[in-house]
Amino acid sequence: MTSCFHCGETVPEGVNLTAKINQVEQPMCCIGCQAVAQFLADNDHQAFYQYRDDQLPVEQVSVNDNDWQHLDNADVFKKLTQSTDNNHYQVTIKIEGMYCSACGWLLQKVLQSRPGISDLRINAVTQNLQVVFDSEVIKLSEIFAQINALGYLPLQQQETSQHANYERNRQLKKMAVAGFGMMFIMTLAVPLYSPEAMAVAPHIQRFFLMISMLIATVVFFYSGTDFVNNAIRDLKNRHLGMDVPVALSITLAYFVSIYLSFKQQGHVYFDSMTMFIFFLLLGRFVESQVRHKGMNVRESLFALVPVSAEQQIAEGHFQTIPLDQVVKGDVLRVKSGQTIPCDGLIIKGQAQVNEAILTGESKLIEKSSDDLVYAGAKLVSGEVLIETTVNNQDSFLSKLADLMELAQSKKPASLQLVDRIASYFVAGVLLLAAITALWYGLNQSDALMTALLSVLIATCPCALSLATPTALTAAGVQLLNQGVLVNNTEAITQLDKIDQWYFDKTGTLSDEQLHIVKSHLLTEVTDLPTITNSLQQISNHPIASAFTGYSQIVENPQNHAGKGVSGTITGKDWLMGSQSWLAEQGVAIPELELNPNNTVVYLACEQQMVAAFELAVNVRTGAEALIDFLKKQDKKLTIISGDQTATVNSWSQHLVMDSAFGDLTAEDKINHITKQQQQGIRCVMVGDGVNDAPVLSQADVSISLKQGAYLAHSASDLIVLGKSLLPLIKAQQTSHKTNNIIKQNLIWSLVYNLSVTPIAMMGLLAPWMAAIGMSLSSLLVVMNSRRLLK
Amino acid sequence: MNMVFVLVLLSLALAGFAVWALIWAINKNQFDDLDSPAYSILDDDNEPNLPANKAKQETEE
Repeated sequence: MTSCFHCGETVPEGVNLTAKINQVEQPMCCIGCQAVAQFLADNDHQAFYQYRDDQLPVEQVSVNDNDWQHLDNADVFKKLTQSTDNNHYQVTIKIEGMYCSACGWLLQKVLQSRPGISDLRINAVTQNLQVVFDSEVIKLSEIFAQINALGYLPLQQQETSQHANYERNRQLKKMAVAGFGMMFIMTLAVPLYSPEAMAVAPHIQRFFLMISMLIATVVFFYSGTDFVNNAIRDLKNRHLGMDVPVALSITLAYFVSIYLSFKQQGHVYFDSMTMFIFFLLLGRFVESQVRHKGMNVRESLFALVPVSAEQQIAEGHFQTIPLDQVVKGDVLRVKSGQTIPCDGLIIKGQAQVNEAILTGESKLIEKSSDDLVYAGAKLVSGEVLIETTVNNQDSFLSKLADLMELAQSKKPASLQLVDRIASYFVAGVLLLAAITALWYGLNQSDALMTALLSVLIATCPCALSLATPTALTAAGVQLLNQGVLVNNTEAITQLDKIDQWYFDKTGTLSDEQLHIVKSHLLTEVTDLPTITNSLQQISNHPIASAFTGYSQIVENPQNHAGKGVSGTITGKDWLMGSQSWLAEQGVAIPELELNPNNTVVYLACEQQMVAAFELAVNVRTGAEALIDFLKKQDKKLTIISGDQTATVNSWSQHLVMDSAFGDLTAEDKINHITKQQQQGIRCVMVGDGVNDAPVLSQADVSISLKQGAYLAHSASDLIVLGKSLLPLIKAQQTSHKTNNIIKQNLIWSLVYNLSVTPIAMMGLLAPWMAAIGMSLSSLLVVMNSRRLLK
Repeated sequence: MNMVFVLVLLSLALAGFAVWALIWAINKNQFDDLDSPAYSILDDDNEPNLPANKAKQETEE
């Protein structure tokens, strides 16, 4: 078995494509890969293969001959770009399918070689591309087309991710100021702690104090204000958050130290304060980096729908308008290959529509006059005029997104629990601090500040608050290496505790690719595969993908949309297509023993029936191994599907599942899962397609497969990137390991906090010791979490 | 003893410069992508088949 040099997929049998790279002919799996590889080689870009470090793309974004012309429309162009200076515009493009630095390198190389591109910045992490271009030399549509030609899918960028980037930079700057401030104050603090040993003169001591105060002021008001603001907000909401004791201790330390430095007596706590702020910021940064990796539902939704629509202004005259100007009652034209921009009623024409994105059903649906079509569905062939029935923002797709956002916002029950526990913890800390202050105030008022600050800092639940997020980040990185993208980190801990696994059938347990399962040959024909392959080359129907391999030239090729194909090969007329169409063409069709679950394609030569092929989808790779693995762990396995019960049952028997249910709507599936959850059974749903999205949100943990609809991803917690289900075994194991690490972290940080608190209360601990102890215990937690990366 | 004042103020100025440089770098998005820029050093410019270089050659001729 050979694998494609470009993408790493197995080369299908009978395919004999190669590309010459560095003077060596390398095998290619498809024309798309060959074209890309050839393009790279022809333009001296073959170094791509050296730079990619054996990282093969885990998925392939299909290269479609999308028409990007609509981007050049003045209104649309204005929405997407910002003017920088004369004729130069800046645009941010999200690149789907860019996973490694080699991809970024390739895009950079190729785009920069195009005239008219003046600046280009690629971020392989956020998959964003920022281009400044001269609109007189190169069109926006040409940039998009070039990116697409390389095998990536360019999407117009929304605002949210730029906001996340701004937030990240803000945090980094605060950390930089706090970090430098901390180092500087510590250097100055050493002689202040033991003036006798270092023989420091009093006027120098005062000078050091003033410098420390200056820096501490900058750090407190620049880096520390977030904690204070959060604490004030928490108190206003009558809620005790982690920030309350933090804000209390830094404010107390700062103002008391200012008072003491002017009064010239006692210790100052500028060092402890800045150190505390820095380590807290560090912890928050790590935590927020994980959270921003999640996807935004709306963003992925609107990446699906085109940015513009063709509106009819007069009979036969059309103009391109931006999508947000589409209102109810507009007449829009949708051509073959385009995505329907808005819900509407067909008033003219007929078409075949793929509504997989909305219903999960991959079969094409015939639509003609008076049929409803929905935004997000793809017009595979035909051309229609639709009259929109709703405003753009009220489409069925938007409603689905609303439903999902609602389901998502209800979810984090366990996080609410953590919050509640934390607020009790904080209340305890404050109580202990008050007791300490009271006791010292009555008995030993000169040691009051030291003991009070030590208690506040030492009991800071820093290690405690890092215990979970660091372990989850490490697990997330580890899972990504294994081919699972983590959208919701909480799912990592949940996965191990699952009792019941639910699988959708279509596109999840089954492959999307159709295969020939049985051929019925009625007459002997030489070279039959070549003939069928050649004929199916004409078609763009999904069924055609089952016939791949060597093909020859077809004369007079004709594609009868939704019916079949016809053509002449070596002087003979061939017909290939559905039973009804062949019958229409006057071909006599004999009775055959066919499995009703399979799709059947008929082949006729010179009006004589030659063969029939039964097509079906295969079991997805890794599905059987995953099911075996889960069975050994005593998990319950069930198929819930919208397919016919008979089909679902035969799949269930084949895969040895515990139970199976067919003919379910999305609502039935939700009810089914809810019923189980009410009995205390935790469920995971492995699904695909947007109609599964609400179901995915209902499950405790949801998993979806990458090649499905975009929208389903944002609803699911874990996303399998490859074509195999095998990474889920790893995910389950990592989940188990993560739970152990989190337990160790929590136990350690609790033991540390409990043992150090009495010492601090006794006044045996200086605040700077408490701050170092706090950082060391945090460091230990981080190091322990790092073990997950191995 | 006056040297201490000079040195401490000098180091404060240095630290201030370092913070300014870091903030400048953060604002210029230098920390966004830590992987791919490492490869830019391996980029060769003398690739004759690149469209841009081809055009250059033609003008030279």
